Amino acid sequence: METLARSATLALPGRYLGFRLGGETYGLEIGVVQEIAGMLPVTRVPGSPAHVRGVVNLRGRVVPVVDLRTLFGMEPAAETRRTCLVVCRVEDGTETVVAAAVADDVTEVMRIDGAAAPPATDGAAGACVVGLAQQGDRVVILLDATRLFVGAGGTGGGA
Amino acid sequence: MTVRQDMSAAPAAFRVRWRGELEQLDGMVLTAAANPAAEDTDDLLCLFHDLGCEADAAGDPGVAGRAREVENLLLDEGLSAGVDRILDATEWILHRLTEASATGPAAAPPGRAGVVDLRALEPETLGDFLGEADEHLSDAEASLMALERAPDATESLHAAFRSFHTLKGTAGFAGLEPVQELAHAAEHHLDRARRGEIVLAGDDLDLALAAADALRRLVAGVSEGLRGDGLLRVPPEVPALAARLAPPAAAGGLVMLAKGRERRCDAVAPASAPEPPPAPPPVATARAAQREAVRVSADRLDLLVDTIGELVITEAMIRRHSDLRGLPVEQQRNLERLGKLSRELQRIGLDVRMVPVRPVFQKMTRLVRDLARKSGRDVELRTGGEETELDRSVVDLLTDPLIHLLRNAVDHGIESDPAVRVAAGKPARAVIDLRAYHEGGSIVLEVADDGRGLDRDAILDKAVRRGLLPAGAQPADHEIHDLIFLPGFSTAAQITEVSGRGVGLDVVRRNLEELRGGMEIVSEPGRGCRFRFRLPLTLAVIDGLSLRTGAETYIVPTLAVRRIVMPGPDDVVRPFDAGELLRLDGELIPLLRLRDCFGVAGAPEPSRPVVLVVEGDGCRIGLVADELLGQQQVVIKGFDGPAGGAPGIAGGTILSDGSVALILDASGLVRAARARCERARAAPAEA
Repeated sequence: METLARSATLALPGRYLGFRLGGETYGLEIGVVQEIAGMLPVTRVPGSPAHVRGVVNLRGRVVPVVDLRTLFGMEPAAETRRTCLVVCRVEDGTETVVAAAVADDVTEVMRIDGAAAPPATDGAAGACVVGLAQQGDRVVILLDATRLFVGAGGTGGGA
Repeated sequence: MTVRQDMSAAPAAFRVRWRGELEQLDGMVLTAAANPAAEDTDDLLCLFHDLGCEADAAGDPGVAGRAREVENLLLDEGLSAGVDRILDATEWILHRLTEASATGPAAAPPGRAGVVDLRALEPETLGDFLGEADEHLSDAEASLMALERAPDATESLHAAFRSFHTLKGTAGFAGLEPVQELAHAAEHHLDRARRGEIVLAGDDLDLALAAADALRRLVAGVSEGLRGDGLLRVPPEVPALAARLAPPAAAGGLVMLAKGRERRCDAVAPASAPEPPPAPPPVATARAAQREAVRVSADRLDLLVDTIGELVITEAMIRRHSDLRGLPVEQQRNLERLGKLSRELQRIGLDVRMVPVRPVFQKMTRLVRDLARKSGRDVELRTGGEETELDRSVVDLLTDPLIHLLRNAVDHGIESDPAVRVAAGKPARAVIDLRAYHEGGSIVLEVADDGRGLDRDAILDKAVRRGLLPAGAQPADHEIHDLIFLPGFSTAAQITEVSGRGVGLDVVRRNLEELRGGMEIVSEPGRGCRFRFRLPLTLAVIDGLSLRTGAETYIVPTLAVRRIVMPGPDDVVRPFDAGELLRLDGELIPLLRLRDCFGVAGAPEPSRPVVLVVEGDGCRIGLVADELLGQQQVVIKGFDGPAGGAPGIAGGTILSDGSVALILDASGLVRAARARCERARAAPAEA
């Protein structure tokens, strides 16, 4: 049921920003993406969930940064020239949350016409995945920005 | 005056307006009957009297007849005797009004009656009016409240008169007739007081305050109209209120009922009443000039402040750049000037957002007065520190918690029977103290009453009955205090209109959490209860001390720091299971090592770390860091989303090198330390 409900909310066809993490391609709906910024020095926030790398100064605004590699249980990767921040703006009730995710590389903006429901997975990471879309010979993992950035990314952590 | 005449020509407007009024009447009648006080009967009398007159004017003799019946009933038999018949009549009239508007031509949408087309007025003068109106009303209200405390203070009376008078002037200038008329009526009312015909106390004071309220609603209506469809809808109670404020010469009295129409017109333009002497115009003009203000939307202001912040940081980064070393002296000087200017800009930008708490306090003075009257208690609200400035966004979030706390104080805190107070050696008149001040890098608001204090036994009993605590538990005071913040928790024996439903304190707590504030309660049985809440200056500039621990920099609000020491190894003691304590002037202060509690990596702590003794939540702890870097002004930038709400962290700030440093929240750290300590103590006991 949970999977069905989730698949119903997502898989609206539309344009997605594709970015790479390890060997996989992920997609965030283009409407929530505010900008793509170069990697910035991160300040750790003690007491925040493990997948929150910290906060950065994005032109005078203090913006939290989520480490998707940690969230999805991947090995940490060294920063490269192509490492960047996908900065998103999501509505949380009355408030607007601006937060960023670290990506190994941004690929392209994709047109996605339909997506399959993700396999039912437990845990924080699974809650953020809203669908799987076939794009050429690749599978794109579509993420829900609200679940990713509002609250504690579905972990229920933080206070 | 046109508005009122229009009303008579538009029965639809008449019906709509009176339906609204009468639908609320049942409650009013019942309350009044249960607690018969002369003023309630008078209110009802006025209401039905107005209804009768207007029904006549609107050409509905049926309604007019029933209204008059009620009026006579009230006059002859009083309220309590006639409750049922009054309710019957009300129902009948209501039914009739509904029926009429459902059929017939009356069903047409309300016409121009009671509506002012703002688009036809000059936007500039309207803007001026809006800019000034609030202040005049606040002034008027403040003067009226002062009058209540000291009814002989003619100065306050004159001041209130002047405020209404000035408001009348600006409203007239802007072409807002309903506002002008009501202000005029209020002015007339005050003038009667000036001439000694009435004393502004009790009902007459209430009436003046009601005028201020209604004017405020009208002003709000104007700004809403400007944002919306360009129409000001005059609330239905306004004409009636104006009529009560400036009734025609008393002689005619109720005999004039039959000539309703004329009477209505009289009431609107109190031509029969002597025109009050105009207030000294130089004063009014001078005040208006002094108060020249521009209305700016909050979003633009935020954008301005944010952009200035960016400018300051970029400027600092440029100025520190090594390429600039070889610049000619003149350019160096220009750069320095640029730096000074951008810092100045930053200061101005932040000042713009700060507002004094005075308006909120004024609102509360009024609220307590009304609550006290409603609950029949004699309460005085004393305020202090009204000039304390807070960020505008904080002020907005402050109002609700204050309302709840004051309600609580009036309804639960203060003894209902003055005799009980006197017997306890307290003055019969209760005092609630409301004050604001800066302390420890935050703003503290205090609500203290001299009532009976929290009833520990009742709270405990209730908690046990609700299964929140085992029977026979003896919790500490602060645990008891925590209980009253639970949703639905109320010890009030009776649900009153004011409070007792068990919602309230949980709202206070929620709002405070939203503000990242903290609360303390000090309660002394029989002597009163003091709520202190502490608010961070979110978005404001604070003075901070920067600390280094490992490779990380943290900022501690300077105001929270009591002392800075570098203790020797002998000054730190480690009694069993109580953690580390610092011996300082005969006091033992728990130590919190930032390195440990924040999990800071890096080189081991130096042999003589620095200890900052900070105070928060009523306690002191020592923060242990590697090094004190210096003092600087920082802008608090909150962050939320996935990193928000980490305990002990109030927000971030951007350092001059462009990196983010976290600002520590002393109260949060104290709470964390306390929780850790209590866990450590509780663990062996439970095992």
